Amino acid sequence: AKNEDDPSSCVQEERRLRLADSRLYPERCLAPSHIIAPHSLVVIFESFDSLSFAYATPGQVFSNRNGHFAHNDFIGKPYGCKIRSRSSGGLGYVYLLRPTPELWSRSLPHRTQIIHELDAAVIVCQLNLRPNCVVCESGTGSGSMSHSILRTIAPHGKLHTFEFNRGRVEAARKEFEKNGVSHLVDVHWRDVCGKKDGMFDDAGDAAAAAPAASTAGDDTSPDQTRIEKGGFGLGHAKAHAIFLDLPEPWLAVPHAAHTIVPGGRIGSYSPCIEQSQKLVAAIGKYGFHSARTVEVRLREHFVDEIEM
Amino acid sequence: MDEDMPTDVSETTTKFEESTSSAVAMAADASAASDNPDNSATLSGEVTDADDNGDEAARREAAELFGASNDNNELDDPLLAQPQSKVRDGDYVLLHFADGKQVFAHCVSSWRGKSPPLKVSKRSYPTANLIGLPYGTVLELGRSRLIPLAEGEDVMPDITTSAQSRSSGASSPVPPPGAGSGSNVPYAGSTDELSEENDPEAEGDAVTGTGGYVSTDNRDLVDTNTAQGISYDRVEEMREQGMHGSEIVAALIENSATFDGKTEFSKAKYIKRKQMKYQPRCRMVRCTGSTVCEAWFAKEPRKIMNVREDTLAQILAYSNVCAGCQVMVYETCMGIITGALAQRMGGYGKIISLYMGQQPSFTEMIARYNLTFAENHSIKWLHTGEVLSEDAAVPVAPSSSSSTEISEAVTDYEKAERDQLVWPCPLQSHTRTYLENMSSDKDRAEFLAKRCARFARKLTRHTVLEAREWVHDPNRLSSSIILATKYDPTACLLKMLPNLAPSCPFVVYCEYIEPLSECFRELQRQNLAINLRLTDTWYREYQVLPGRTHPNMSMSQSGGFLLTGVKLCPVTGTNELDESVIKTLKAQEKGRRGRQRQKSKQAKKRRPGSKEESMSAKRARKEVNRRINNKKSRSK
Repeated sequence: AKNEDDPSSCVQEERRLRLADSRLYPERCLAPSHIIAPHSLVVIFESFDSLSFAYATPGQVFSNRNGHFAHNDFIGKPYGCKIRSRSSGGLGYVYLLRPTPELWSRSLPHRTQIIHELDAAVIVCQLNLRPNCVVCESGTGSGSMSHSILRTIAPHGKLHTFEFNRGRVEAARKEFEKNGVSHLVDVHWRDVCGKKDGMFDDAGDAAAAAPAASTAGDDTSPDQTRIEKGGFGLGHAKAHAIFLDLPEPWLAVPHAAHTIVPGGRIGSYSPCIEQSQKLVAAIGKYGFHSARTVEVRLREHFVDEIEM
Repeated sequence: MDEDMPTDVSETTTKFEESTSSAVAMAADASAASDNPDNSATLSGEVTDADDNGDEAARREAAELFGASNDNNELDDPLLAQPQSKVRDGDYVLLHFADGKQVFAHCVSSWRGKSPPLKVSKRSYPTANLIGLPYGTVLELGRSRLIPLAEGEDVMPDITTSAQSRSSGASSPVPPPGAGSGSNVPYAGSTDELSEENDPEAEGDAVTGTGGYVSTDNRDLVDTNTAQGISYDRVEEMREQGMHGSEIVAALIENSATFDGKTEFSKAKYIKRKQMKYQPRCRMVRCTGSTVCEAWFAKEPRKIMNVREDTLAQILAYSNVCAGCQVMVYETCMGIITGALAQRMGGYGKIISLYMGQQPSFTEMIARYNLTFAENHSIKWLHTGEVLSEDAAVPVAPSSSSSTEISEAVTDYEKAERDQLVWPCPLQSHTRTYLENMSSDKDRAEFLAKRCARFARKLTRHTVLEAREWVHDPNRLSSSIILATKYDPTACLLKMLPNLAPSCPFVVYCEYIEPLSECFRELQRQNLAINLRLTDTWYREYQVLPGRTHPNMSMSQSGGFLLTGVKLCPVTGTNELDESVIKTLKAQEKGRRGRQRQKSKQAKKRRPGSKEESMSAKRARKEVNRRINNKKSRSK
């Protein structure tokens, strides 16, 4: 506020107000938690293709083919250590690792087919996610993509994730709570495609009635239809990025166009080319531009020494 | 007038200082705060990373702290702001052309110096008129400047149906306005660019029926170069006269003898080619980690060591970087990884980027990312010698007395100098005179802005000794390591690993696989890491259109290789038990296995003397064993 008529005393006052608290300033480094605390998530690494997880609860036992492991042994140890089993004379062992979204994806219980780490990495990068973004995701599924997004939008961002299966909604909510990320995410029980009338909605607000006037990038043909069912229920231009992992994503595109901030990015993940075709057509129609379809495939190399 | 001048200057100065004092004062406090470990402890709950164990109490306390301070302050947290949707003065912007070319443009209101802010097809353009436009605007290349077009225009201009229907017999449906993405011509059909003359794939254009179309084909096409009525010189004349691109294209179409005989797809391709030549357009795209990487990968992949944008995305994801963490990066990729990291971490946390030579060489590249002050500040440049040299400091346990002696002995002069700086800093007399003598207020504003920026940098720059202390400190271990250099990855990684906290991921990138397979084996041999994976990816882009969906003709296979892993705790992550202890354990095992082992151990004990044993004794022993074994097998 550069007020030209300010006498010097007012300027002094303003200056004092504008000297912000240094605690607001960046360079806030989190020391990674080194020691396993009770009830914290631990990823248990048995072998390169076998990972699982546990919440270190005193008194519980984790069993796998290498033996039985008492959770009490986990608590107090540093992450990255090797734990020997209590049974079979301590011959079996596992490694305890600090959880990351990638390890979580490999160890979590699959409720639906998940997006693997390679695709998740490319999606998060292409959507230009950064801290304190607001993101919408539809098709929570098992929550594996959600965790990758949450890692990036911490600490003050928000992920609105939508799932139309009640059981999965509850499971996801519990999981986010247990993993300590529930302040970053809102799980909505809602069908963003709006395929069925009058179900749900514990969020309370009906779909927005205003026409989708603002779209990502260049707006060519504002959508004149009234959106009466489905939708994200967040209002107009609220999300910086939207991600769709649905069997029929083109049904959600008009709602996405309404909810996204102009200049925001939308992404969708489809296993079939027919879905991609329909989606690209819908996206062009609702005023998005610069659509690209890519496929990324992983090739893993094994390294071993042999004698010849 | 002379009496007024001093007050004018001081007013401007105070206004300036007042508006920027926030950033600078915060910076000053932050340098002090960062040295104070207590501060970081209280904040630890507030910056949570995704799978943290959720320190409830600390979080609530920090939330109160944060909430309380927010009430007193009118100033918003600068890190909550998202990147703006409009171009600002001094921003870099990427221009995407329809033919796939990507060019950087520096949007400055006034341009000084030799290199123009934008150079396209051998012409330089001023960029002042781009400031204030929203990202995503389509620009047309005029003769002397870039002309922003209205919303709704696409990079491929919408050729009106009048041109087509005039010259073609077959009716083509009216393309819906604004349909088609990026580089697609409206519905009438477009596949990839192929020429009308000398078209090796012209046959491929034949009947590919798109639902109810009367498709012509090119069976009667005679491939001579005489189809176009307007000569090359005439076209140049039209251009000189300032005829608009669309008119030129329309004229070319009208005067083409073979246009009518083309298939729909071929017509579209022809139009598209002419448009790209005479009516070039581009779209303004924001510079982010992936767009900058893509631009460089297309233009000069050798300079960035062949890091493709999906490889960069993987590096960012697998290294588990997030707000508030500390990353150590060593790269020789022109700064794309550091820049992408700075954007991805949003000003939180620390990026310790190692550089060789006198000073960091990527600063020009980093500028392309349009980083905010906070993001730029989160990059800490550190000389490689501090970490990689022979006598580099290695994090030692705090109990070691030698480290404390060292830190007391050396005084940090640079730090003392920095502590003496005060902001707002009153103008010195010669500066004041200089300001007074300036011609315009605009120049004054510019000068003061530069001065503020200089002070801000001085106040926030870390000293060499402070940096060394970081490397010493075992409490400040990094939470991930990213390596992407042209130097031997094994040696570098082994030197950098002590600086990584246990159970934290590291990512090593290399253009070639051989150094990484060596690294893999070395890590396995020394038992330093777990979950080692050596991967590469291939990346394929598709053209998705009704009836014409296919992968693009060229697919990238050479995006480099990645080795990722998780570091094991050096103390408890390896075999904490000796091999002999394991043997005793195994022997003491209850049950059949234990007994068998004990037996075989005793049997082995007897063997050493077997040379002295007589043959008969040997035979006797063998007989006894045989009987025991028989008994066992019978009892089974």
